[in-house]
Amino acid sequence: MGEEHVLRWPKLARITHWLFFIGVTIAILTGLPVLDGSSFRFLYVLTGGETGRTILHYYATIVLLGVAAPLAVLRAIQSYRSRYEGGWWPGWSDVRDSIRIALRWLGLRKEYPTIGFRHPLEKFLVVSVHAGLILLGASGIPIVLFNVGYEYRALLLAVHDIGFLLVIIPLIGHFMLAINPVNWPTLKAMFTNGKVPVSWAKKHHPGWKIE
Amino acid sequence: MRPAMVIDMSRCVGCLSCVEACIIENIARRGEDGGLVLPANVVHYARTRPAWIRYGRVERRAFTQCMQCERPPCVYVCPTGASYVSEEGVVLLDDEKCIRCELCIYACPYGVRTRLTEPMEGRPEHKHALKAGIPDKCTFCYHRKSGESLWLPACVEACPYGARIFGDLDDPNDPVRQLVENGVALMPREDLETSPKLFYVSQTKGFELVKYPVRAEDKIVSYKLWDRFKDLVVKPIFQAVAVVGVVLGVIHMFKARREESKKGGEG
Repeated sequence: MGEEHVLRWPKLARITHWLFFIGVTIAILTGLPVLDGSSFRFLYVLTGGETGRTILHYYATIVLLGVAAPLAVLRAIQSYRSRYEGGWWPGWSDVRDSIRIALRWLGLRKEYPTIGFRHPLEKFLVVSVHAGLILLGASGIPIVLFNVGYEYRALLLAVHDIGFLLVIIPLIGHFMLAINPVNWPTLKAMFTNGKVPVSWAKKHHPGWKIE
Repeated sequence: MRPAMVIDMSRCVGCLSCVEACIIENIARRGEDGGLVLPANVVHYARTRPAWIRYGRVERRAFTQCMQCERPPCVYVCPTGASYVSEEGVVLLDDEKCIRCELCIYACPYGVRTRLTEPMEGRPEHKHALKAGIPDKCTFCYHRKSGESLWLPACVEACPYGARIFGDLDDPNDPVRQLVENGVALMPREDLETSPKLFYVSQTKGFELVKYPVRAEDKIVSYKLWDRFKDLVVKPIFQAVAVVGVVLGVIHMFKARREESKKGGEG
């Protein structure tokens, strides 16, 4: 008999996640040379030069993230309807728990707050990334698809940069947590059938009411 | 040395010799059969080209080209440093660094940068000649520079009426410097605060240089604010977050691992 497992990432969550992952990765790799060409010009060459950037940054991202967006809405509905997930929107208890986690991390507090199905910081991460993606789309699509006039481009580029920061800041944290060996079971679940060992779930998410 | 140019509109008859000279010097190539190769709509790519300028009820033909700004917005927005200013103050472009983002084209308030997107047969005739895909602009024929002395751009050399004068703003005896100092040669659109080094002389009544440039008034955008925002806010935050994020992530990795093994030991 193998170890008992529990579903953490339903199929919809996995599909949406990987669409976002591919779309955002392409967008970052092809966008960084424009943000800071002196440091990231090599990415321009690696991603196929001008033709590569046009296809990847302008169209591939719009298609991938455009497909992911309605799935993300469906996934949010699924999450809110679920008996144990409890939705994505962070509340005051998440703010409080985040502060406690930070204090615990800094050694200023002994007890770790009880983590439910979702880590409180994960909720802030998701909200920030989605807000950033909305800003990136709202500022990038008018330039690419509607050739918005020059007079608005500087403003749109500034909004695009703010969107980029809202996406990249939590994603760096998300990436570092994902590659942390203690979280590998959940990373593996994202790659496979979405299930994590119950022992891991009880240890890392003691507040998750596993049925 | 600080090269600058004056276009005397009262002498210019619009013969287009300057445009032709510029095309031969910077745009045209030799094909495999030795014939001249030119892009379609070649005048659009000439680095000095005619443009109709409206001021009030009057229309006047003037010549537009890179203003060689002392505070060039195209250089400020360039993310790779491909657009740069030479030691003499000439705005140039390094095609090897260019990533074709076109920000310089948008940022130029004078609307003078062009970009040939179609491929072109033959090889560029010199280092600063037109290259397909790369934003293009007047370089004051910088490739003609040799040694420390002032050179002569092709358009100046070709003008049969002496309407174009090339000189050194650092030389008090230079005619260009004197025209500028005496207020005869005027700077177009001083309000844009880019300090161009291309000046105009006009005796046409009502010719207002404030109506220059070619780009429509509602399409003149200052990229200064966005550029500052990017350099002072976005880039530093991104760099700091990338470094701090990775460091904290690695520390967390060790801490979490240690706690896990501690718990395992206790269990």
